[in-house]
Amino acid sequence: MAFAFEKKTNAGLITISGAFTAAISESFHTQFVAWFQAAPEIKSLVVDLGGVPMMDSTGLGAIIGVLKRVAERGGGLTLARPQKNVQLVLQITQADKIMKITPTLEAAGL
Amino acid sequence: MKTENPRKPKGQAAQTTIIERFHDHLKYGRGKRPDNATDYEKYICLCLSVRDLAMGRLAATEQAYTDQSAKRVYYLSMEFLIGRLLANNLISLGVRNEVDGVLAEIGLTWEQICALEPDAGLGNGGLGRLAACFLDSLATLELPACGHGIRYEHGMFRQDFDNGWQIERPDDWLKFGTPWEIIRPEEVVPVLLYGRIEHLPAADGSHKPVWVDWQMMEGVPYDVPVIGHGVNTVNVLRLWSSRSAEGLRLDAFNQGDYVKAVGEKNWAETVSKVLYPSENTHAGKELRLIQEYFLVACAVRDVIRRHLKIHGTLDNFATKNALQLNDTHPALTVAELMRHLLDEHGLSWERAWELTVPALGYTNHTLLPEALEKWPVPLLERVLPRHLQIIYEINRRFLQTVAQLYPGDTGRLQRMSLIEEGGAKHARMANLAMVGSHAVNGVAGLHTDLLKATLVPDFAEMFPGRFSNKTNGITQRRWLLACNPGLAGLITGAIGDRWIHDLDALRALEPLADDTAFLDRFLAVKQANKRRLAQLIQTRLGGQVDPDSLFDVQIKRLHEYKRQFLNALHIVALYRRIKENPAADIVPRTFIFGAKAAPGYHLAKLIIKFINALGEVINSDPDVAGRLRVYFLPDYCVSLAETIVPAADLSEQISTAGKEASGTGNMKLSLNGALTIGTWDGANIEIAEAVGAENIFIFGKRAEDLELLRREGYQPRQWIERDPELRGVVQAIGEGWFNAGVPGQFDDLVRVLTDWGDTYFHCADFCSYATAQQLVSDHFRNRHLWARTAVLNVARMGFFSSDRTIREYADEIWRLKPVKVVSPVGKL
Repeated sequence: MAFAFEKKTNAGLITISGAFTAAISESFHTQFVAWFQAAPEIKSLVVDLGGVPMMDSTGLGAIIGVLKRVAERGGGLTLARPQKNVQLVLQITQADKIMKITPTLEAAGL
Repeated sequence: MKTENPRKPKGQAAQTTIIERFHDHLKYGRGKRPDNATDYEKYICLCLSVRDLAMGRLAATEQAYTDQSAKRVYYLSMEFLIGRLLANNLISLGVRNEVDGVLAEIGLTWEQICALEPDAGLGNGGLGRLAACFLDSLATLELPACGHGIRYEHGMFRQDFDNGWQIERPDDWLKFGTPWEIIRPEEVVPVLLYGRIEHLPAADGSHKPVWVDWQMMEGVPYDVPVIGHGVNTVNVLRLWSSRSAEGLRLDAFNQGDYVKAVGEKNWAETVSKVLYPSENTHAGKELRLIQEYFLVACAVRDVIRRHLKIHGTLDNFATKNALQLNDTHPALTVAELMRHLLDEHGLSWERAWELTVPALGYTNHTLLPEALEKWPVPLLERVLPRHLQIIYEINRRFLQTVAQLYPGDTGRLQRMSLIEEGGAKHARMANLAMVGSHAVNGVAGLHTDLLKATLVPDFAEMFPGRFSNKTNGITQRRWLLACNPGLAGLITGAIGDRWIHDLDALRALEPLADDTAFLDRFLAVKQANKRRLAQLIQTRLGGQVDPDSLFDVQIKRLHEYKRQFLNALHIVALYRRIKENPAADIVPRTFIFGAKAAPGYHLAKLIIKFINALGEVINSDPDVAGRLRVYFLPDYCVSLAETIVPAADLSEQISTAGKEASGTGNMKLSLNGALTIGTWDGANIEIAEAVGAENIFIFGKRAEDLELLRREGYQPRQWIERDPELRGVVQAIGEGWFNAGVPGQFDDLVRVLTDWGDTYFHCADFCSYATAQQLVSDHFRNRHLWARTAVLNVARMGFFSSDRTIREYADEIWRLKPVKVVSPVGKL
């Protein structure tokens, strides 16, 4: 499991690799908050889920936490490249109704 | 393309194919030679060789359904009591005789190989066996169908007796796997549970409900081929197994918390771990609710996925799919299908409802109000928060309509609401199923009448076109052809084999009921079957069984309403007659029981103990001199039924009138030449109409009589006082004739009759029952007369084929057409 936080021209890019579950969601949250607070200029975020084969409710909860933070800045959150299983979870929970989902990073504006 | 004739005997070629495949499976699958393989390995390899014969047809069937864009039916059932499959599969494939040659080569007998197969007991009783019979008929009628059920790791418990008391042991049918199933890992589905709905801001500024804090598991499908008899169709029974979505928690494992590491895995696997015993009353049991949702979630996702793969749009969902709900257990299908259409596919409420209702059908199986499932609303809210929202919205809209149709009728609104108010709130699953289905059916004529008139009259009035009757049936392929080869052979020899696919053809036997030579052959077959059962009883229970005695059989779940206790009271009456007059002229009878009681059902278990106690006393009493014997065979299951049914002379169908929805044991026994003693209840009524009142022993009060008696204040003590024989029977039990040194052991059974109101009217029906039993005995004394009546029963049972039932469902509810499957030669 690994996270990468990068500042791109148009938005911040968060890359997650591996199962996004209770085992790492707390660590993700801590690292994200530290990174996001240190970059107040970032208004929009893209989370690259291409390397995430499975996400549980704590993983989704962490994503929703990201959404809330970025919404406070008046920005938006896009989930890019979700794998089939993760896409399904987003549909079942209706999380896809509150976040933009794109099949590629390019479509997410990166 | 050349096509094979699937009904043409396969002969030597099939035998050679099976033998070749058998050796391949043994060599390449097990790494063994015939000389060092165990019997179990031989059994597995034989099954796999037989399964091979069906695999090409399995693929061809799916292809045909897809190519022809066929409408399909999905039969959702928490239970599929499929029993053993080897014999049936061989018969369906037309290679049963060829396997004798194979067995000779591998050094096993037919009986040995059959005994090696575990009995797949994925059900409690009639409801589950009905589902299995329906699958057989669907495949044989070439109808596009798929069963959806749960792959319970532990099916119906194994029953032993300890000093006459039932004890339960876990069933372990999957201990070494089963050769019949095929895992489909590529079609695993996610299932979400628990959590809450949080309204979160969307990009457009609105707030959307999002399901958060859920837990996820996965449903893994295992396909069991369902081979149509004499056709190329091979449908599938898809059984779902639960597993953790995440598997082992490596983080916890690496930190040394091994329990936490496997905790979620264990939780998920629990869901398909065990079948709940007893068909009725699981209210409040969280795991049962989760099991029901698990089945529904897996099935609905699977159905929609397949539909979209073939059709690419949901617009024609209801014209291409029929989902039949076997009782209320899968009633959550209504909410789950709506959730899919609304949440995952973005349809409007109105459009989603337009697609849901025409696709769903609901079969009611019980008139017992306590058996109508109701789930506490707080439990539903915790386990399925989104579904509860949907149920509330269905209810709101539905009650608006009811209020418009029946203004000011608040009582009706309360009765019809999906939510039971007053005290703790409950969601009524039967109401949900009736509102969300375009068709609701009962399972026998009387049952459907009572369903409409007494159980849910408001719904029947509001939706008169929605209700219909579909009298249950049984598959003659298992319940005559496979289980009773002697009688099947006699019939086929006399009238040909058309009955195997058209049970009405048995009518041609009627003239033979007056042919003494035929009756002698019929009796000889029955006698051989009785000897076989006698041998089994002697092996399992010891003692002597007289195959010339009348085999009086009651085999079914143990429940007070089925009245095994009434049968026992009659046995005590006969015993008392002998004790009072040891020289009494009594037709020798062997009473044979098979039944499992729900583990927590005290009275049912006491009745088992009582019947076993009767056997202990009566079987060893020199005054009886073998004229009465009582045997309770432990661990009643499908395969045991397949031995008992062909050997029965008398079929006990003696439920309290108005309580048994249909029954199917009555059909199996009659089809195999047993005469029925029965009440005016369930399908007994239709059997009586079919075979003729003079060929069945009907007794007892009718449902309406009992209702009147109940309303007037039924006093069972008065009935006991009025009837000297019944009084003597109750006294004998109370005096401890059968207590075996344990004072008061059966006092509760006496209290059932004297102090607790005799809910199931044993006392009111006893005299009539005893009189009918005397007629049975008198009839049995004349062997040819008995055989004539039995032959007429067999000849007139055509209506009770599950083929007829399925045709009715297909024509009137599912609007389903057969699809011819062509199987290329050489590609088995």
